[in-house]
Amino acid sequence: MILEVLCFLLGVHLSMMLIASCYRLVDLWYRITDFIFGILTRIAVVAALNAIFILVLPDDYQSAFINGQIFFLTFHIVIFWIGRVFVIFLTRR
Amino acid sequence: MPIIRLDEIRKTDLDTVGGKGANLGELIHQGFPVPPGFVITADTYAEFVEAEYLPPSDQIGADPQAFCAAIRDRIISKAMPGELEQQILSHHEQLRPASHPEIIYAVRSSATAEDLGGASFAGQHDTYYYVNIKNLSMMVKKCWASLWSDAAFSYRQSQGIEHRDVKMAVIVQEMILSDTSGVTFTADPVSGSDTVIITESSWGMGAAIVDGRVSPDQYIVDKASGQLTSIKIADKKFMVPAVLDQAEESRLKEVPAHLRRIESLTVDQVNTITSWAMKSEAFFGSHQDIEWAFADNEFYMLQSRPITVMGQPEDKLPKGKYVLFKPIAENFTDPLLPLSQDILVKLFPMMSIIYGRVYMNLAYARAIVPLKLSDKDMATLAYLSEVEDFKPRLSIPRLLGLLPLLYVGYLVFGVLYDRTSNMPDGNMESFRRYFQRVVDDPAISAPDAMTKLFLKTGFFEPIGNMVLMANITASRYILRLQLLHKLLQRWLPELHDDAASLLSSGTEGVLSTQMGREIWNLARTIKSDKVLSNILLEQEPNKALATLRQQNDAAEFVAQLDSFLDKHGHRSLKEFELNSVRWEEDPSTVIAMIRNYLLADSDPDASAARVDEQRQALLDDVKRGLSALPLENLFGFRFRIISFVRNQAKYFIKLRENSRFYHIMGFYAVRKKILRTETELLEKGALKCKDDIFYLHWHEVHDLQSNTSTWSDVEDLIRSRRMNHIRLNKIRPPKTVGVDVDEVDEGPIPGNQLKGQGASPGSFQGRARIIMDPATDALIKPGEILVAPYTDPAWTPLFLTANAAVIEVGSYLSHAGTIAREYGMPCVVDVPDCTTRITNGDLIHVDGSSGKVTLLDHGASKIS
Repeated sequence: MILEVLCFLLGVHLSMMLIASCYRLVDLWYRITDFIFGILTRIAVVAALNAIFILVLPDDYQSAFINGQIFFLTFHIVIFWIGRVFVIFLTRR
Repeated sequence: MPIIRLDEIRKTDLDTVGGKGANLGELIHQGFPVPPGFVITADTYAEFVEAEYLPPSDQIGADPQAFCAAIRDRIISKAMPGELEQQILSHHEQLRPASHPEIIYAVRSSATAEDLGGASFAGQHDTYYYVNIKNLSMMVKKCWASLWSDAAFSYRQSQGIEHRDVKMAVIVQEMILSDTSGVTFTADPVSGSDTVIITESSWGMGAAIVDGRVSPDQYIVDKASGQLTSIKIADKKFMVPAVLDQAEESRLKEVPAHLRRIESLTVDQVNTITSWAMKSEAFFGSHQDIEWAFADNEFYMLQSRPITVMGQPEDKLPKGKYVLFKPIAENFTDPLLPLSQDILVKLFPMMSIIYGRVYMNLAYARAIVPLKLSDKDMATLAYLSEVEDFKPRLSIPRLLGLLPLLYVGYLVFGVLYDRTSNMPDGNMESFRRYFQRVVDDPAISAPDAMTKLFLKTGFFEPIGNMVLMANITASRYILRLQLLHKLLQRWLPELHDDAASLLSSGTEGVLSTQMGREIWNLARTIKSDKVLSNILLEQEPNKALATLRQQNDAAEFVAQLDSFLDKHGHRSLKEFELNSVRWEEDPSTVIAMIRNYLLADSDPDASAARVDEQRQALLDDVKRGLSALPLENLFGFRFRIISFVRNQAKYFIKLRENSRFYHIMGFYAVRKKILRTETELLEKGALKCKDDIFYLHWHEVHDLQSNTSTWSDVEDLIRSRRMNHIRLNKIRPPKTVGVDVDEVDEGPIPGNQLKGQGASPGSFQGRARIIMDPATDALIKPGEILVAPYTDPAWTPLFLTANAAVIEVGSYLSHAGTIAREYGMPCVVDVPDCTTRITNGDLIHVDGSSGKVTLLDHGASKIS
């Protein structure tokens, strides 16, 4: 159980790293020609790390890991909209 | 008699000429130097408005506003009787001296119920200045009509005064074209103390003071001894000049830079005012509020009336526990204006405005600190002061409650933290384009601009557009610095305590330090041409710039300056206040700084090279010291760890400073929006004076925009808020509200030492130079020590010339500390009252490591 939880948390963290790496395309868009190699390398490394974990982990841990990734991706999108609603609430106070 | 000359009036004529008129007449009779004039009597008013036909108060009906408006309209539209017109003209001819044919008048209301000791009608009836003979009749009618303003009506109602019994006399008095003017109170109207005489003065006409548009100089005289006991020189930004330029749309003029921070009265003039004020109080037998003016060094008493409000109303304090959180408080040393309060602080629920300053609600801080702390210790820590016998105990229930919260924080901000790590220089330049998009979009209002630029960024926005978030995540540098300090202590205990600070300074690409360097480069460019630099040195900043723009030889300098303003033009002094004028709007501050560099003859390159050498020597010491440790020569892993942590600390320090550069740009976008709204409101007459908009709350601005309210609804509001702002400016806010913390008066400790907080290591001994405003008195010479009330990035250029700094407010993390460390100069912050305890020219020793400032020869030597 504990190992499954740890795999879930690892999935969350690697998902976070993958999203942040992908954001570099947006963050450095205005200087993309200077940084494209570094950005793609980083995305590839983090994606490869994710893939390795998915491939090597036994079935139970693998699903915990993937659940962690899906959970964070969903959380990241939902929290963005919750944040927007919160900002609207603040501005209308 | 419809008109009576002022010198024919006695105090017994109150029913005929009103309280103000009777006072003036009696003052002239007693020999007071009151300007000449005449009074159109209250009976003339009664005849004109046919007062006997007005209904009594209890029969006015359900809509008093409509009733008042109808009377006002009738007064304004009715023609002045020919005979009265003739009499006014005849008195005008008598007053008009042959030498000065274009006499102008102040036309003042003088109601028969006004200033009767118990009731103050201050500001409720109209007064008109700069009135010439052509529009005199109309202004007299306007004064009569002001008796029926909504405010005056409701005030009479609240005081139980029968409306139709009150009549309005009008004083027509020669207007003194004053060089200096002000008000004097023969008792302190705030505290009620009657042992002092308080005089407030400023340049030009008195309207600027009475309307609260300037912070005046203040002179306090002890009543018993007649000695001048206190002088406070204010920064007098604006004045109403004696002679108005007809082409100018505003009466307010900027005070020339060289007059802003000097005394507006001589000691002889203060004595003259005091002497007349005492005579007036003795004559009237009550404490007096006197308006006066000096023209060609001649004293005039314009008005004397009883002080009707004595004692200070308590500021309403909110329930709860609040503390000035120092990293925020040091950015808000002055009270915020209402509009800035609305737009900046409303978005942050943990903040509250008290005494015009930004306080943190302690309940929010308590929720995230897992320690057992008393309110007092909590507040002391929030103010970044040292807590005595500080032995915090971990609260297990709090910690257990906090862990899930921390994890949620990690989930919410994790991506953001990762995105802000290791970004190249200039990654926030995209904000400049975003800023321009928001500014150019007329559909975006000021509060919406604030939200868009700081909080509501899109899902696919680059991190550069989230400058506030980047600023918050940059606080990681504190942990890196502490870690670096601990590592050095563990592996190299012989190194001095400041090693971590010195190692983590000297970062390339910090925009505020670059700004100082760019101003210095501007000075270097113009210095090569004697003629051009003389223009800059001899003329007023804005005039000098206008002259230089016309000189072909100055093309390089002007282009360089324009490029500087393109990049840094959104900056200003007190840049969190939306009312602060930005450098792009008025580059005189930048010009003043260039001028100071020309005079100071400093060499920042040499100073930077010296600090680089010190830093490199320290790094060599670290490497050498570590090499003596086991296995270090083989793998060098300790040095690698130290280098990694050091680079991280340097990166996040830079991120913090640079993100501030951009979020100040966001404030400028909001200011531009406000100024656009102000222009619209001025054009349609909903506002009368520039700057007034900042004294309104946003919903009040919105009401003016939508015609739900008008100028008359906000006029008094603005005036009272201006006065309140001046009052708040004089208050030193308590560190806490609702928490009992000892606010010790930190007098000099033995050995003439002042205690503060070390913000940048090193020590230096030199002469003190007190700078209150870098825009006006920023001349600091190499070898001098900067002593200042606060600093923000606009002060950065001074750090290039000074050799050390002592700052009244601030913390290790403050701008002063960060920049001082970058420039490698000792700096002590949080030294209460250092700008008054230290005087210009004192020889002082600054120890930036221990946070001590020693006065070596206080007052012995002065800088000429």
